Amino acid sequence: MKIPFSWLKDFIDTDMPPERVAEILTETGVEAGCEVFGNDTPGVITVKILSNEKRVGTEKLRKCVVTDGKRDYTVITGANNALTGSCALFAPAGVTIEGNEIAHREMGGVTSEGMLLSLQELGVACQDEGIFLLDDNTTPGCDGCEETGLGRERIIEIEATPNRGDVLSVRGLGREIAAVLGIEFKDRNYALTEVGLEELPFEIDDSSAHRYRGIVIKGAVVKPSSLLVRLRLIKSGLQPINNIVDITNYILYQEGQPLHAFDLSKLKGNLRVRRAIDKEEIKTIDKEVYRLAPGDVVIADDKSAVAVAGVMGGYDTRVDNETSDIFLEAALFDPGDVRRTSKRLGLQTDSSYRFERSIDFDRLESAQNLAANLIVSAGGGKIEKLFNSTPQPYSPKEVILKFSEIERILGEPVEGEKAVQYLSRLGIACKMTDKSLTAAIPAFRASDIERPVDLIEEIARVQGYNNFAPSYPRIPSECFKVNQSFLFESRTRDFMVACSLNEVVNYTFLDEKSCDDLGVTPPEVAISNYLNINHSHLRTSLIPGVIHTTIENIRQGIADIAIFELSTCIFTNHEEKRLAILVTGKEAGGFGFKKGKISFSTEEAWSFLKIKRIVNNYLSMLGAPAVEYRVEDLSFLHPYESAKIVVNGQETGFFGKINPGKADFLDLPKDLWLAELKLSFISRDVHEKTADKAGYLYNIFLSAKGRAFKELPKYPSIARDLAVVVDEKLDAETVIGEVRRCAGLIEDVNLFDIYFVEGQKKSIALSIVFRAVDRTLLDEEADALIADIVKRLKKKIPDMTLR
Amino acid sequence: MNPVEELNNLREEALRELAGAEELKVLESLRVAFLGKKGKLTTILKSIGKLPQDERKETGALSNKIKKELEACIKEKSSTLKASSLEMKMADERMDITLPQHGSVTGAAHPVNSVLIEICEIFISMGFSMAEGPEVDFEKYNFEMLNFPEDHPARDMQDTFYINNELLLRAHTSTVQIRTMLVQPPPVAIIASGKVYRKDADQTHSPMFHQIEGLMVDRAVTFKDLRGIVRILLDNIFHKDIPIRFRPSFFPFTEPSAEVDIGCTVCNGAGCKMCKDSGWLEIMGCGMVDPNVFDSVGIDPLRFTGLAFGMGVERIAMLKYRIPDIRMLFTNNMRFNLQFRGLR
Ligand SMILES: [Zn+2]
Repeated sequence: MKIPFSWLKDFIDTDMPPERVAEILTETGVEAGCEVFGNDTPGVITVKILSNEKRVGTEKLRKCVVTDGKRDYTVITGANNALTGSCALFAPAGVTIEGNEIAHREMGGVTSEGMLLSLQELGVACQDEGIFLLDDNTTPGCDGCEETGLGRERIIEIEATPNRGDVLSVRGLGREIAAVLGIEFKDRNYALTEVGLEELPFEIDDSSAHRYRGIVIKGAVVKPSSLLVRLRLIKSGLQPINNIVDITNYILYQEGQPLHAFDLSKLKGNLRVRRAIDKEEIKTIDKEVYRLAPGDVVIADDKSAVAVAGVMGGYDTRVDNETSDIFLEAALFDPGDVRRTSKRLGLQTDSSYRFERSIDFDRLESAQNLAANLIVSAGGGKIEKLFNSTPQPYSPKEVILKFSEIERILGEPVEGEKAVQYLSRLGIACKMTDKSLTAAIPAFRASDIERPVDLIEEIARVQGYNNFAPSYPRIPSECFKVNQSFLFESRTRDFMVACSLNEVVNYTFLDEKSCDDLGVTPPEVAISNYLNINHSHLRTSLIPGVIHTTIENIRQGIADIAIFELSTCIFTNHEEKRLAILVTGKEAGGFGFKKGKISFSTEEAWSFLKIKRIVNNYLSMLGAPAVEYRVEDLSFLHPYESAKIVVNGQETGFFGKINPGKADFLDLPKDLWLAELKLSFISRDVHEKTADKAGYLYNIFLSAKGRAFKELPKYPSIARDLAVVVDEKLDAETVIGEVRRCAGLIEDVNLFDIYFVEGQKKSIALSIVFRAVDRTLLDEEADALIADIVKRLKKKIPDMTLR
Repeated sequence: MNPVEELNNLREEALRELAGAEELKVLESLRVAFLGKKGKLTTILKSIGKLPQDERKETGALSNKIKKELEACIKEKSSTLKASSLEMKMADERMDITLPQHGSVTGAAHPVNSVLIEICEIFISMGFSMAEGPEVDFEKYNFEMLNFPEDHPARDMQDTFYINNELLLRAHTSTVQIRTMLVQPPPVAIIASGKVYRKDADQTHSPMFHQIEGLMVDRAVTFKDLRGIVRILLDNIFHKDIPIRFRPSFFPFTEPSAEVDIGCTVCNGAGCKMCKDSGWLEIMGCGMVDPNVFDSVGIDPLRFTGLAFGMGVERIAMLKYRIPDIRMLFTNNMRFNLQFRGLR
């Protein structure tokens, strides 16, 4: 909300610079900024328009003669509101406006000696039509900027927290400034200037408005508002319309009471406040048609709804230039009712904004009276009738605050008398005993201050939060738990970074199509009010995200990509932390080796076995026992170059090359490898323990057996090589596994050579290390062991031959 | 020539030649030539027997002395030559130590996570425990139990993504406060961190961002303690004695509530674009746990008090690394992400 400082000065007397006032407001809880209204433009003067004639041969241009009281100027203008007799702002030739000097201009044989101005041209952000008109009785020849406050007036802009509806008006903010500065608040109450009013026929549904008061004014003349009103509205960011509508806005801003003016002649029969009928429609002042719902509160005549209560008036009953009889409404609608309707219609107005935040129960009458008086004094007419629903008077609520509570919450005592003084500055009257105070909460703070702790906040606020010296508490240690999952995650992250992978963070949102295109599991959870159609669902896999990142980077000309993401995947009944890895392009490079006097630069591409290295090393870091790799059948992976990761018999993820068909479809390189691992399970049930879910690496990390020292070997080992020829489709692990299962003396089996031979066979060469714990093995024993191994292999793999 | 003279000449000759020897091979052949079985000194020694008795003793002594001298000389020369030949061999293997490394370059953690972990570690070292909760959570944990009344404009502070009537994407990590207090009686000292979601997207707002939130509930936790905890935190994230300003604010789940500003890290308070000329940057929100929140989780607000604080991680990362647009954090352009390699 924007408020000109000069308007605030109707309520407070201070010499403090507006900038400092804004700063103090910010420091005491109402965020405020301060800016200058428009540009100070020296040389701009006020003029009276003496004549206005159409230029022959031009459609739009007019020739005016204006006077500053000493001399006349001829000026050409395109504006059609430069009427004879009105006063305006004028820049004679030689004045500089926003960097451009106004010069004499020849147009069709006439010399224009300056420029009639709009406020926009003077640096004000507003919607101007034509030039800006001053009051007709303005003295010509005065400093135009002085008259209007251009470059002088300071505008305070506040952003109030939702609990502070009380500062959303000039009067309310003035009261707040007076309280925090400790100065006088100049308040006034207004009575209607007319007496002997009749009552209007009116119906009210008790539940639909806390209070409703209407005033009929007959015979008003609709015209532009006075300069003062128009300028104050413009400075507050509002657009002046006519004297009637402007006064309702003026009072809304000054007093914080929303008002609405109906054209009485357009209302059919009696008025009532009621709940809307299902599917009832109304066209509002913004010319939109809204469909209402049964909970909405409307003002209606005999025919239809004429206003959406607290939100916006109807188009058909609006005040226009022909209006002379007015029904002026002031009401207290329920904050929740107004908010629900405004939310549902997607229509927030100055009025609904204030209703939602509660308006001052005690000030409705005064504000409406002032509005009626101003309408009559500005536009003529007579106040004729009054309707007033039975007002429920506000009785101040009492809150008792024990002084000991202040110290318990704030950490230091505030003297009782001081507390009472602070509160009374805020308009909260208190009675005091030795140990407590009883505060009477005024209507304007009723929705915000209900409990002792709310008073404590007010006391701390006035004392100044920054005047409480910090103290340093002992952190309770009996509740301390080492967070294993935090350690697990940050170690996982560090490990991946050390493996030369770069961390990415993708949005949790995606759409069904991107999962479909890729062939990953479809999302299970949809957002009902998504921001963007591509972000309508929540992911169940991190793969679409890392693929998306890769596509975007390749588009940017970055081909070497090695990334990981550690984030949450979301399922109907639970969530999972997962880890995804994607690598493509060059893994490493540099001057790999030197031979004689030559250094060779090498490049190494990523490969299946390199991603396997990362996965395997990671699993062994976690202490995973019994890791197995089984054939994977995910559709987005290469069917012959992908593996399921099985730990302790539980499937915990996969890795492999992208399916070449998918790579083509997505315009990705075919040499791209992916991995995804399930890290941890997160329950939505507050009582469910999540750490012990099987099938997650976090659980494996937690349950990994501790390491224990084993005796170092005392006797030497003996090694033998064995080369076998088997079917080329037989996995190396099958052979190695059989060897390992053989005899107790095998310490290690190393695969050192595989090559393909004729007849779709391959040769697998193994180096087998034997060791006995209690003696040095003899060559003959090793030979016998090899013979046993060969015998077993022949039995298990019948077509095996020795090389 | 008498044998003594002969020996002296031999000594001079040998020393001269040894001095000139530059290779181990030459040295070896000199050793053979002078001291070998058929060497010159040996030959002279053999002839000593023919000398008269009196000369024999003198000559024998001299030749032994010369033999020892030459042996010592050869030994010394040999070790000098060995050292210089190793030196030459090594020099031949000279490595250009300025060549680029071979092998893969270390990766980069995401700047948001780096900052998040750094802050969590500050709290862990202070004695707080980590707590966590799901990202899709119950509306009651996100709103009702945190004292957000229905149909209250406080709910606009967090424009929320809904899944259905019951579930939403959490709008703050404060859901974890409720989850913790529901199962753990006081005392409580926890930190919760993670992704949160709001319907908002521009240069400084992302629909997904990260928060860190702390909660401490005990018998005598006060507003002054909150001031102390915030001071320690900001001293450690930014720098010792960074200017701090508490401003009264409003959060439904705390009372009193405050926004915390730090002295602008760009202009040091002089005023700049970053701080909109105020000299201050809003950095976190905090307050004393509202009694209604305690009521909702079954903790007696007359026996216990609590402090709570929370901050947006992106905001801190953006300040720390001078990142102008929050959206850059989630585009994952490698040219951006790789700028944040390293621990700080
Ligand atoms: Zn700054």
